[in-house]
Amino acid sequence: MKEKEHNAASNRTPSSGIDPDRLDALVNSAKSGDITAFSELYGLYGKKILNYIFRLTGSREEAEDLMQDTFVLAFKNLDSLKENVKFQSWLFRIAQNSVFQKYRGKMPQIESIDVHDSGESGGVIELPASSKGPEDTVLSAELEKIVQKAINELPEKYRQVFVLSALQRLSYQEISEIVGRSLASVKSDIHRARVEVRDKIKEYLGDDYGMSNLY
Amino acid sequence: MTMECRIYTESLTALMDGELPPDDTKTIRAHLLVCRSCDAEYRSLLFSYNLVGNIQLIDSQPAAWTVIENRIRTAREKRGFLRRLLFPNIWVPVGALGTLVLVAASVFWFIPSQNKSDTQAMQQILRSYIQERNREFGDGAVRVVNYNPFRDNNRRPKGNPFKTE
Repeated sequence: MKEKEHNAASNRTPSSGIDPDRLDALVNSAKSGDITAFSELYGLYGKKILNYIFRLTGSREEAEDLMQDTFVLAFKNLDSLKENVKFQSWLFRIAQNSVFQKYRGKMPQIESIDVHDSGESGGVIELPASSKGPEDTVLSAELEKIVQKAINELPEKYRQVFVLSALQRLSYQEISEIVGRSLASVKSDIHRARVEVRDKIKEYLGDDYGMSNLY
Repeated sequence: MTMECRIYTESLTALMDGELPPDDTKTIRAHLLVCRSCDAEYRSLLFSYNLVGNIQLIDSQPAAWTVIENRIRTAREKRGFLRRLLFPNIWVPVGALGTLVLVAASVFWFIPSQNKSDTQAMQQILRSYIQERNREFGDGAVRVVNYNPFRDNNRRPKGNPFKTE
């Protein structure tokens, strides 16, 4: 079990996963108008931002548009970033604000996908049979739908912290900075969100939940 | 589930995320070794955590950066055009500002100096008037007398014009 725990924890990237000096240099160059440096920053964070917005909105097209808006806005307002090392949190905050602005302060209501209709096994989802370890685990399309549905059904404030912690693997400190809530509140919300998602996945998977060969 | 278990359960997610202080981590791990229900809860949360963590990430469109770059360049050109339109040369606004400062300074300098010259002119009039008045005494000496230069000597005498003698 310890190995699995270690794996779970090691996937987490407490910071941006880049050398702070390098990040500082890149942000400084971008601040002085160097688009090449900014393109490197895009290379580092573009996918993260895209996936964050995608999980919040549930629409790939919207996510692409809002991701582009986020980076254009970030470049224009780079001067307002005081601490270069906090570039990632700052960028996530811009992305979040773009989503809020688009949906007028309210998180989008994502249409749920009825997983029971798509399955052929009478409501029970068949799990992938062969899995050697967490790295090798490949989720079936249906299983991914289950997880996405569970995320979609989360209340707004839980969805936000859940995506940032479980999918983006950001540190609690960074999440607190992004969502603008206290560390204690974030910690508590993350726990509640995880329990809710777990319960929903458990509900869909039935007896298959917790099969040891899955992870 | 004991009270202790409830407290620990709240921290299981933080334990999984490596967000607990070392002492708390040790305490909860020790508890998990002896408490079956907490251990089961932990495993259950860890299972869903791993499932969620394995969701495939989507990739952005290959042309996404080109679009962003174009938008940045266009915005920059627009801003440059506006700046050139409003301020064709940096020395123009600087010169305008300098001129403004000079005008303001000269206005403030001129107003008190004009007041001063007015006062001097009034003093000169008074002095010449006194000299003129003193000359009337015949000795030509300049005397300082308590004299009201504004007094009207040709004023008609006070009295009741209707009074009969």
